[in-house]
Amino acid sequence: MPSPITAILRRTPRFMRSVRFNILLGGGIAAAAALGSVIPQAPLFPEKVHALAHQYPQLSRLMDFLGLFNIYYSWWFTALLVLLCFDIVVGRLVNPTVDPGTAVLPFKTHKPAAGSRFMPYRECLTSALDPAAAIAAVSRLLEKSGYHLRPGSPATPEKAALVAVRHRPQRWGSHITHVSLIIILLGAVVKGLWGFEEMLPVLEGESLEMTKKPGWEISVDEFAVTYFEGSGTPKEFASVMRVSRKGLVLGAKTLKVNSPLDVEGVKFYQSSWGASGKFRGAALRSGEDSILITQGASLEVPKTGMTVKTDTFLPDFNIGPDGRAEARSDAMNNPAIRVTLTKEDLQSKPLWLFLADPQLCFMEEHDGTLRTTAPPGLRLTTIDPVLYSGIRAAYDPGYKFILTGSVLWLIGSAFLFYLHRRKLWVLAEPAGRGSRIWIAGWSSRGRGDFDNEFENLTKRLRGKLAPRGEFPLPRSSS
Amino acid sequence: MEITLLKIAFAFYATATTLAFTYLFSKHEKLSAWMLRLLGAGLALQVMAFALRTRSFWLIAENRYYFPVNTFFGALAFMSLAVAFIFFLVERKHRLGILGAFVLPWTVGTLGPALFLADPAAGGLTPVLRSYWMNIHPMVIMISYAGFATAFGVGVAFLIQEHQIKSRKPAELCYRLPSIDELDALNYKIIAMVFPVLTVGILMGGIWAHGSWGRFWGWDPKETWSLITALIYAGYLHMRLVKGMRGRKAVYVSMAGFAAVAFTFYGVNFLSKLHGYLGG
Repeated sequence: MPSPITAILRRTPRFMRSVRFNILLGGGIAAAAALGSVIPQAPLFPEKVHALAHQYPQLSRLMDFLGLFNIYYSWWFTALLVLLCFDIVVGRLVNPTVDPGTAVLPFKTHKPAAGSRFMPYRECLTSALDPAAAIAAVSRLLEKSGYHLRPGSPATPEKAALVAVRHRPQRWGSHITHVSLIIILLGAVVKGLWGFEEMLPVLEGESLEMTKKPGWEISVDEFAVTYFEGSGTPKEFASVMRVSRKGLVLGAKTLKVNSPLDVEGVKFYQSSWGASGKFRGAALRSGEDSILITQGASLEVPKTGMTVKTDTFLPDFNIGPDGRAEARSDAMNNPAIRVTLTKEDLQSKPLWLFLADPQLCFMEEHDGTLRTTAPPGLRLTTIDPVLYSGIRAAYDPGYKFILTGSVLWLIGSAFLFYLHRRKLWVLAEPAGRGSRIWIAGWSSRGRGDFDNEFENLTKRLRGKLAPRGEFPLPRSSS
Repeated sequence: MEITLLKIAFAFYATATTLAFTYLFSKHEKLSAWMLRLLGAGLALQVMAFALRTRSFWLIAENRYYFPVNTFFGALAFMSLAVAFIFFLVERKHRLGILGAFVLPWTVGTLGPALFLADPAAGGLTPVLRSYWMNIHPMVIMISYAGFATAFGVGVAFLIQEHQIKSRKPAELCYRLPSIDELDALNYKIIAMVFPVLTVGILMGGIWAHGSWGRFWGWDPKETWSLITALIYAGYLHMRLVKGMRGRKAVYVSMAGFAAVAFTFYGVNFLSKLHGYLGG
């Protein structure tokens, strides 16, 4: 008697090939995927992950260790996907589509063994016609019902036989679906090994070298964004950009959303834009006077004896959890500049001035923390930020595999789910002055869908075959 | 004008739903006929409202030739139109008036929030939405959702009927509802028809994402949940067609699929801004 461990080891591969295991595995993958949509994922929401790490450092370390901040690219999720594909394919190879193949009629038993999918539908009719005429009558009826007929191979010349099939391409559904999964997985592997994605925030008028494609330089000569009137919804944003290598221009285009530039298979997409921490100029108002200042420059404020210097610009000012100034985003939601005032060699602490609210002012302490203070008599009236163009570079050699695999999956599942393959074997043998007709049926679908059809077919056959008394077998299916 | 038409359509739908509920407990066949008439009238009005809204949407040059489904209002209104239309088709073919009580609430339940909770302003389309996929991908997906809502209604009717049959004292309702075999078959037929629509819609979304963002699949919550939905319904079809799963178990799986649909449509908007064009 095998030991329990041997028994488990023997049963495990069979269980892992079973449909039940695959459904459980699929359910596990779906649950993990759902979890990933609730827990912030680092590639999608880095700022949320950062905030969580700040708030719950220990828990975050554990979650990070388990790959919960990057579920979809974690080793265990990838392993689950690979196991599912591997299991489905291996399961398919080991347990091929159930098809009884060439039937041997007449049946040895009138009732199929319990659980057997071999000829689950059985019937025996009698006819006054001779075997050849009976088979001809059956052929006519089955042909009318949409069956594709093929002559059978009776064991002796006096018998006649045929095999009838409907929706034959259904058998390919399973193969196509399984092959498509391999192709999709192959596409993902190809992308993972040879593909890349890179986000390139290029400032207007500047260039940036790609890290994923060394030697390639991306330049944005101009960037423009327009808005729908009376709203903050962008109407259009576009970059006049170039891709060059060692001074040689490989490609150039006015890059717009939904219209990428393709350079040697690497595609460049206009993805986003935002305000950088730089500005070209800012207008400050002191009483009736207005001064225009550039970043880093010092300028005298008329009639005050003061000089003003600006150094930092935040497009979306926010006070962080540590009480220091920080940029919440790169959108121009709450622009603010930091200025330092000097009078008679006395330098003030840095002050933050706001475009939206002239009455608001923060003073920055030596440790960077902020406290409110009275405005210094200077107002920020306009600011001209230097925008960056967010260009996404992507090289995805696996895309065609994934697309092909997806289309094949659709075709395969359509074949598998919407075609209903049925196979009938008919054998007519001489019996007295007429014949006895054995009919066996098989259906690609589970119990139920073929029951009525088989019953109706045999009912109609009874009428066509000029019966001379019959002895039907108990119909059963498993 | 289109809002007025939509409000009248909503009133028709609400009345049709009330008639459908009354029909559950009444033997007047006229109620069912009137339900269908009101549904048809509501549909006609909503189609007119959609046409008018499209016309005004196209007054913004950038929006021209795109359908106004870029806002939560637009998406909900289209969803109600799709549910009403699919039920109308099912009803015309199968004449199962009694099912109105289980399906029509979805029409009212989507058009109502659109009219009374969502902002009807359409606004201009952001550049990423100005793609021909805008006219195909969201609509295909929403049509599939509408189909799943109809299947869910049929599933509820199945569970009620099964409960009635098993109870010692079946109510009058038991004799009005179709047989559980019919309901089971209808539930399957609708899902079998709608499932490829969903998968084609997801595939289109991947192609659009590749054209706009450079990646076919990014595990955005919307994408993730649409995949979960597809997996559940694929499991349903597989278990039913290959393993012969029928009855209550099959209905429970289809209902789990619809729960995933509801979360994908409503819930995911709270998790992701990428598909946030449904915001507002």
